Amino acid sequence: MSLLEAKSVTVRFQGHDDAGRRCLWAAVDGVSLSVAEGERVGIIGESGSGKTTLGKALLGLEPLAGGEVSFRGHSLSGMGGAVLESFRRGAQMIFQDPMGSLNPRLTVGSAIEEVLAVHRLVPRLERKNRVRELLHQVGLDSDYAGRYPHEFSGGQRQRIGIARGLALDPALLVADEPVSALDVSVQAQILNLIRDLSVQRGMALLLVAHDLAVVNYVCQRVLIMYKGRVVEEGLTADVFGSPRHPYTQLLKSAVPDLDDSGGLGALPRRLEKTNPPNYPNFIGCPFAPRCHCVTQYCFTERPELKQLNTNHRVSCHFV
Amino acid sequence: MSRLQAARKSLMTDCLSDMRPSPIVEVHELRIRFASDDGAVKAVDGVDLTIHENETVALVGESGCGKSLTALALARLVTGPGLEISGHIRIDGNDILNMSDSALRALRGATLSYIFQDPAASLNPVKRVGDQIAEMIRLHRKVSDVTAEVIRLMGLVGLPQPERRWRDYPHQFSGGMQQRVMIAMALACHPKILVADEPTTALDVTIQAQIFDLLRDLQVQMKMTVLLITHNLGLVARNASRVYVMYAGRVMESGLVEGVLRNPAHPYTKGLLAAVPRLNRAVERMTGIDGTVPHPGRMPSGCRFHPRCTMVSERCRVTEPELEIVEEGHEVRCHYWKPNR
Repeated sequence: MSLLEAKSVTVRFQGHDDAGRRCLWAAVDGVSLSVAEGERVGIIGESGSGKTTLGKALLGLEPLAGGEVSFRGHSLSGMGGAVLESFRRGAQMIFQDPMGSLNPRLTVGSAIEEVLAVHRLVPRLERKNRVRELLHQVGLDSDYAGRYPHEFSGGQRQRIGIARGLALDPALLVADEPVSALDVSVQAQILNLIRDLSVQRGMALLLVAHDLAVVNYVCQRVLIMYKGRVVEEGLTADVFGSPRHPYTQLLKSAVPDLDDSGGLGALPRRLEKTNPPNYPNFIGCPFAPRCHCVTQYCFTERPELKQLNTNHRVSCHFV
Repeated sequence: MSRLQAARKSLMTDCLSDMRPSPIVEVHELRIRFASDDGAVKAVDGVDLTIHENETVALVGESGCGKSLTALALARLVTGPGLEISGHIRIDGNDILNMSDSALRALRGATLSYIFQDPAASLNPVKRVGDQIAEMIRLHRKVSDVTAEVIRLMGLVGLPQPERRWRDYPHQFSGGMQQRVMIAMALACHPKILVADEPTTALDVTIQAQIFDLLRDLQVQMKMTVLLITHNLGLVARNASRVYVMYAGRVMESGLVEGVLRNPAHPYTKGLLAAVPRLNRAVERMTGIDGTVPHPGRMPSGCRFHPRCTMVSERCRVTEPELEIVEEGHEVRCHYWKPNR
């Protein structure tokens, strides 16, 4: 049984259509995914693809308009009492902006201790020791417990966020763009830390990111999202090694690499971000207006996710 | 693209020979100091920078290394408590640090233009984008039909339906389109030098690729010199011909992109490169660089990188290395850049 199972999850927001009329549009549109115990899964998407909303929905932080999320076989919607509490303990989240998610008026120690106190996991007298242990695990001096968030650098703050996420020894950690605000050298440290902790503790990781290379480094499996839908899904090596969906191909070619040297020759054009006509009531493939191998059929028929092999699924008519 | 590659190649061979005209940007011993509670803070400390015409030069480094300040100093745009700037900056024959304010105002925008990381923060939210571009034209040029010129510029940077959309406000454009508006403003006076400070950091990768395609085309069309400030080494590899690597207010390594990125001589450059996650290569484990950037008020003795360096020795703690020549056009500030020394 997988740890986390999502079936056709849909999240809708109030918004406006092309004509300016109020309407509901789907930020996440029928996404299914499963995360096994200890598995590291990445969710890739550009701004507005619904990746963050999906991450929140999977933790029950966003009301579902359709579909179902279950954790260890229990549906989130029917959860209550002890089961809900164990879910809250078992699934934790870390955020992009560590400063924005730490209370500036609490010392780092008390911010982490609070989590332990709420869940009554560690006896009062041992909490301080546990906090020091956690700080040590994320590579911080355990004496830092008495300091305030503003006394730390961005990378150190992200480590504090991770320590707080780990405090309850969760089975699943959802990390939403944990390194995009950090310098490269610090980014490497944090990615190593997250990956090592996941391996050492057998903790599943759901990494939401826009950086393909980051997901490639950390995750075993990846989902590529476009306008609320999964367009390609599979093992990281397969999806990035030989991307099959035109959008994944476009993304891959757009990432500048150290091996590049001037000129891009083969970059597919049509980088332009455009909404399909009559969005969000459009029925065809959402990527059609940007696709370099588009046909008329793509505007009238929405492609479903097709199984290429056991580990690789793509939603494109022409794969 | 082959035309571009050829242009780039000829540029690089030019670079190595003495056939070139004098550089369009020459910075010598630039020092920028601020006053703080801990005493003087040296944010930029003795930076030399040379940029030739039509070249794309990248300035890279982590936050706080002084790369943005160096770029701002080119138009004397640095402000701050107790500011002291010393050194020499020559741009297109002008002595920037000793110019009158009025002469400098004429130079800004016309000779030297900037685009910044966050276009939404640089645009006036209550003014039509067309009017903001027009302001640049009216200030610096004599054009009879300003609106027509605005529309031409908006078309040039690939903004759709400029005849209609010049009347729109910034919030009616996406982030990528707002950055195009900024580029149109920057280009309004045909500047000789465009300084792009993290121009795509806030944008999606596909939009980033698009903006750089545009910048590269415009650079060739308008014969512009570009100074690119970034922390993204992939962008440097793809877009620049020469690169300066800065750390803690100093240039640690500089040279042709091919030389510096393929054969880095400085441990800091090596560390930065090893910390870049890769898409096309399986990397077992990224090494990163331990520790953090020093506070500018508390610079380490000797080599500024020594507390984080894997090759540190007693000499590094005491004596700061000078820039040494690795090969023609490739310089490094390290005592131990030669493996066998």
